[in-house]
Amino acid sequence: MIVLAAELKRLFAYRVQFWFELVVSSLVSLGVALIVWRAVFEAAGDRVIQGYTFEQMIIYVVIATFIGQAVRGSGTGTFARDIYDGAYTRYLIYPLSVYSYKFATFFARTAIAIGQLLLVFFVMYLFNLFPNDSSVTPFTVLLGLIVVVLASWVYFLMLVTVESVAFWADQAWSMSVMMNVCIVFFGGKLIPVDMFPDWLQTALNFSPFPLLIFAPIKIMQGDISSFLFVVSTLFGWSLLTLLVARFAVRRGTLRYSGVGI
Amino acid sequence: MMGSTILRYLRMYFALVRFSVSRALEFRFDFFFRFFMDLVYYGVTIGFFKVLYLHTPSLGGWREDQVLLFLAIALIIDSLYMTMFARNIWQIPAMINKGELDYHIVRPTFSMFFPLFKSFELASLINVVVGMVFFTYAINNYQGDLSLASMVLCVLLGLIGLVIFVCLGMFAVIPIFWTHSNFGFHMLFEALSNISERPEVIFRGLSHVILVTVLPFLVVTSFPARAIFGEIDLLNIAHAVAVLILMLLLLAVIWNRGIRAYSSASS
Repeated sequence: MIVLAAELKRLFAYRVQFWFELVVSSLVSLGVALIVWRAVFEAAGDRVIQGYTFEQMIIYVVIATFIGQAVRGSGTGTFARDIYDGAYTRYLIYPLSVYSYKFATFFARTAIAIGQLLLVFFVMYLFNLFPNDSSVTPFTVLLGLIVVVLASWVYFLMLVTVESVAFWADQAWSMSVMMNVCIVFFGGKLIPVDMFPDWLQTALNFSPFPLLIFAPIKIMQGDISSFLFVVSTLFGWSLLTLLVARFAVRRGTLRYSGVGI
Repeated sequence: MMGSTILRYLRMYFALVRFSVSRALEFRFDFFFRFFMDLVYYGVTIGFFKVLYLHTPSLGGWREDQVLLFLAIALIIDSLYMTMFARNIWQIPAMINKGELDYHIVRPTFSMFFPLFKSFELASLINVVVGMVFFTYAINNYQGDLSLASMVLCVLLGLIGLVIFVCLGMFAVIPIFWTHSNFGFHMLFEALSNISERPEVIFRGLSHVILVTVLPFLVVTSFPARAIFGEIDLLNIAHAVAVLILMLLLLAVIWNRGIRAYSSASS
């Protein structure tokens, strides 16, 4: 908690960076996504596309913008950077778990994105902007947030696994960026997963991607029947990714050499 | 005189390219994955529109074959940007904050030359070829009329678009001279640059006006595509050229002011 508080303090300390990176960038992505979907609905001429009305799609896009950020926390590169510049040594010397420390710093961005989402919901509620057929309630939002926290943990472990390649290779960032791009698309941040072709949806059921972004959005939108399934599957993925991450980090640590802390 | 200066800069640029290529081949793992990273990104960009067209016959009046051609142009411009400029622009903030700009501004060259051209990404150059292949595929699937003149105009507007995109990228990092903060503006640029991968025809009203003038991301990729579709007139071409000239002038002015504001205790 101390590390998390310190990281939050650090993020808020650089105010220009905070506003541009976390607020303006989110609004730009949101605006572009809304313009794209307006064009799709206008051209299709249908009121409902794959079960989504335009108003429901707006809610989906709003939630996806912030959940996409929340799940991906502080983003890529921090673990690999520690390995390259020797800062990883501190986790070997100090009585400090690399997982808990890095996750605490990672989670600071998650917390901010969750805060932004709640603020947006509050404003929408205040100005009565939720469509009439919306099933978003404080209860569904709470359940969705539980899934988001779990999803961010799974994402973090996937990131550690991929970035532990830095123990062996001179550059690892391209791999984590690749993973990020896949999660954004196959996770449903750009397009709801149930709009993908059937064969792709079937294939994605064997991956954690839809659970990271699409599943929490659907739960927030009122599909709470899938909550237990999503949580238990995410637990399964977190165990699997934890095992793989621990194996990779342990093997990598044997190869690691660093000067200073 | 002018000719010899250009030759000197070209010789220096090719020396930098040779150095970058030999370095890229040294780090083969990174080279390989960087190529795949761009490939995955392009795949996702194309996949995004492929899925959209499963649910709609057109976007802002553009058919799927038109959007595929537009995307091919966008990918070629992006891969050229990634090959020649992206890494250099990303490194400018660190260069300024660490005082490493000293090494470049004391050299007898234009002060922006080395910061902007020193790295050349061989892996991304391969993606230019991939983009060309995709362009050929998109041209074959294109259902409209094609002419040599429209293709030449597309190439010219594409080059103008690339330079405008570089200017926009530079505008995102130059404030570091004054703010000393690393990534805020750059992240905003990343978010805004996605706009250039969306067709101009879906933007309307104020957003369209802003995105072809103040933040001309739509000029970068949509104008070359419109040239092929025969949807461009002399006024549009003049507009693109005017934006280019203004961007270059603005870049020169802001960069020089930045250099004057720059201080370091390094080198």
